[in-house]
Amino acid sequence: METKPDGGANAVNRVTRVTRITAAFALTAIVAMAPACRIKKNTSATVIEDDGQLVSIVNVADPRAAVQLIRGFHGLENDSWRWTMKNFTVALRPPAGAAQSGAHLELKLTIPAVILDRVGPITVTGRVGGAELAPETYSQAGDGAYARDIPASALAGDAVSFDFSVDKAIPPSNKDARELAIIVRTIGLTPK
Amino acid sequence: MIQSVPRVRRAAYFLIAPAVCLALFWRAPFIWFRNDDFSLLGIPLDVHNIRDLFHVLFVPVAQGTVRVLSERVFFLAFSSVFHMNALPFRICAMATWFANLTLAALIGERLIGSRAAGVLAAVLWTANGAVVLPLVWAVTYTEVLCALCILLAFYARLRWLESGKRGWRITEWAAYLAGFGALEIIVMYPCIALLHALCMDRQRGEQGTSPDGQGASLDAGGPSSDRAPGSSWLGTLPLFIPAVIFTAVHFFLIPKTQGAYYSLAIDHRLPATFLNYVSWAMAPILIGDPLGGWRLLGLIFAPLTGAALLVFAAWRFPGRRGLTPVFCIGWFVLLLIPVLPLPDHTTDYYLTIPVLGLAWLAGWSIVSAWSVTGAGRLTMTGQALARAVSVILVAAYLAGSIHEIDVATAWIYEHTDRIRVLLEAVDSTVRRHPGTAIVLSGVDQELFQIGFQDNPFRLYGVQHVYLAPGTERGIQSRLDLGGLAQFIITPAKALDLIDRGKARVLAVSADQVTDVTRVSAAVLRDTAKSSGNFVDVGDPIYAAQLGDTWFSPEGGVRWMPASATVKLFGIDASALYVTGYAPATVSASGPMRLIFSGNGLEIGSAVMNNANDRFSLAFPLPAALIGQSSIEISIHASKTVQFPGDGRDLSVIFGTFSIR
Repeated sequence: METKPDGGANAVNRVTRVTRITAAFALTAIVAMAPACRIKKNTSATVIEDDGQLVSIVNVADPRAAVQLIRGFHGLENDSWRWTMKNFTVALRPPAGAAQSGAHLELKLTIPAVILDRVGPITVTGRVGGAELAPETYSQAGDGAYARDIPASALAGDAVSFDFSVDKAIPPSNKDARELAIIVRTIGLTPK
Repeated sequence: MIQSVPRVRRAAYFLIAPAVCLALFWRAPFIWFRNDDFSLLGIPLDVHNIRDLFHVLFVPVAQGTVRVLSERVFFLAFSSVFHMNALPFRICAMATWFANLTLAALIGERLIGSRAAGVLAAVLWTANGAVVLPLVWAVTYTEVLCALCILLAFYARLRWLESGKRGWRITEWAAYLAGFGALEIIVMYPCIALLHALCMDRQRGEQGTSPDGQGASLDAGGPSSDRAPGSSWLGTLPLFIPAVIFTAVHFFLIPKTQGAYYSLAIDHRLPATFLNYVSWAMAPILIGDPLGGWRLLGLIFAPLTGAALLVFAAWRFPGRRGLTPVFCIGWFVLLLIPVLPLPDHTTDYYLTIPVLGLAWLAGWSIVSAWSVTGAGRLTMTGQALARAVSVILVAAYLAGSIHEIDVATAWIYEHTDRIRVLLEAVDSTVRRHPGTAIVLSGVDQELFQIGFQDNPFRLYGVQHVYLAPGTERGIQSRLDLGGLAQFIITPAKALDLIDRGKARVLAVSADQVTDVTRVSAAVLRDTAKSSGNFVDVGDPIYAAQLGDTWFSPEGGVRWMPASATVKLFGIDASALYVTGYAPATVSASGPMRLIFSGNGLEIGSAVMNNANDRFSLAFPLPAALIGQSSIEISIHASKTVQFPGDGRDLSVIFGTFSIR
């Protein structure tokens, strides 16, 4: 078989070109995939067991205390706060001595301007053990608190559920399927 | 004619689109499973013998689909070999997609007569937001594989038309028939082939009278004397036979589940659905979503891009390649037709294959604006304007699409990773505590929606998974997938399972899972104490506290037959409170007596005398019941009635029971 005079050179050139192209593609792929190095992997599935202790002051951002947010809370936002529905319930551990002298309940909340603009002043009412706590009406947007003294008689046991109700909320809509009432950061019982 | 260039250099051209794809979809290899993936990942669990294998491969499901290759075989093989490792699924999808991009560029080169236009079209195609899901969601591999079948069949057709070689004809048929195992829209392939043949025939006719020496044409096969036998439109008719048979079987022989999402509707909504898809194809698909400036970008540039493509098509129409724009637009329309009658299920990934037609047109228009021959008919000013317009439109399209792809892939990555962490934690928990039920606290709407209703837990051998009592409120579920009922558990039942070591409670947060069984027991003990003393019989959440005889809830209440029971919990309760309603029809035939007893001891009775009487009853509990932690309330009615057309024996309607 006759070989073209420049056949060897062509073959070498072709190999060189293939190598260059492969290298270029590999380089492009590496550059393209470079951001992957920055990808933030969530933790693996190591399951930590709790210490069995309820807390008296629930920070809604604390994953260990999430189980004490019994109902009426939406997902955590900005790692610090949660929207609530009109009715929400939290379980708190009475602080030491509360069964004798009672405790002080404080719900740290934010009344968003969007709520006030839509529904007007809103009233928050608490309830514990069937007894209703005095309501409080909020007519200004911003941070606030709902604070009440809780009698010792309502604070027996390892956990006490506190029910809260807000008289108005933005109902679910096509834009947001959630019922939105107020924003809550912490709910806690402190000794008197 | 297509210029002959060194094969290696030519190959380099075709690596551009895959490289761009990798750059845009760099998160794809890290994205995990979601939603329907979990149903299909469970296919190997259903195969125990040959009969099962036949069943999982060929028996139609849901909307009557039998996607043997793209769903059944794909998931059976990959899930059996790689289990819950998503990377091989992604690599397979990406490799198939690279083949699609190469075929798209090769076909574009032949249709338009410009390699650059073909490659540009492939780049624009892979930069379209419509392809996000097919590349990062295993269940939509159907689109990727179907695209391969259609493109390979069509490319083989073009090669057959060029060369007349029988091998290409066989390849076309093989790819076409394989497409029936990928996705139903393969039935439109004969229409594509027919459209191409019609355009080609017409073009040949025009070539005889109006020579136009610019580039190549639809008929890339050279002079008409070299035409392959059967290349006229009549030659495409045999392709319709499998499509007609498939369509007839699909519509007339395969039963389908009823559901709003997939109900076909050929009505006044068709034009709106079509325009919706057109706008999604032209600009960032999230147009209409609250993306602020990006939404505005989409609103402005979708119509501008559409108008520019139409102007280009009209400008090209009188020329020799005048029917190529018709074919490109026809590709888009024909492949979209099967999904247009689904107004309640418009979804971006349905555009994956159709949008390639517009990408070819766009690639061609850009090359025309920038090439001397392409813009030969324009004045200098017109050429400058065409180039400026092409740059602006491409920049807007790419900016919006790249942003959209980035946002979408980031969102999918984060959410699929959340459910990965949760499921691996569930797996770890049931390995340490075999046979336990799992109660999940902290599940929000987004986590729930990413796959709870597709039962991913069975893939880890977990039979019972519940949402922590109370947290199910605010979660929206799809009723056609079973709703929330399977995830609901009462505080009393959850506590009972925990106390017997039959359940573990896991708290889910953004990036970790904590076993909170012990602390949860303390909370549930308090909750059960306070909430177990109340039952709203019309609310399904309390179903576990109701006896078997109650009728199904209707509008938030329940009818009771002659007798029924309700279980209540409450250590310090001293009285029973009952609310309900006695309709006029019941009391019309005389008074009805209701007798209440608890744990076999009579509590009291009441007589319903008045028509449409809303009653609210209160009875002091007998001393023997005070202090009992669990009381089963029995109710007996002295008579029942039947309504015409309703065979049930009905007494009264109850609302709530409570002891306090």
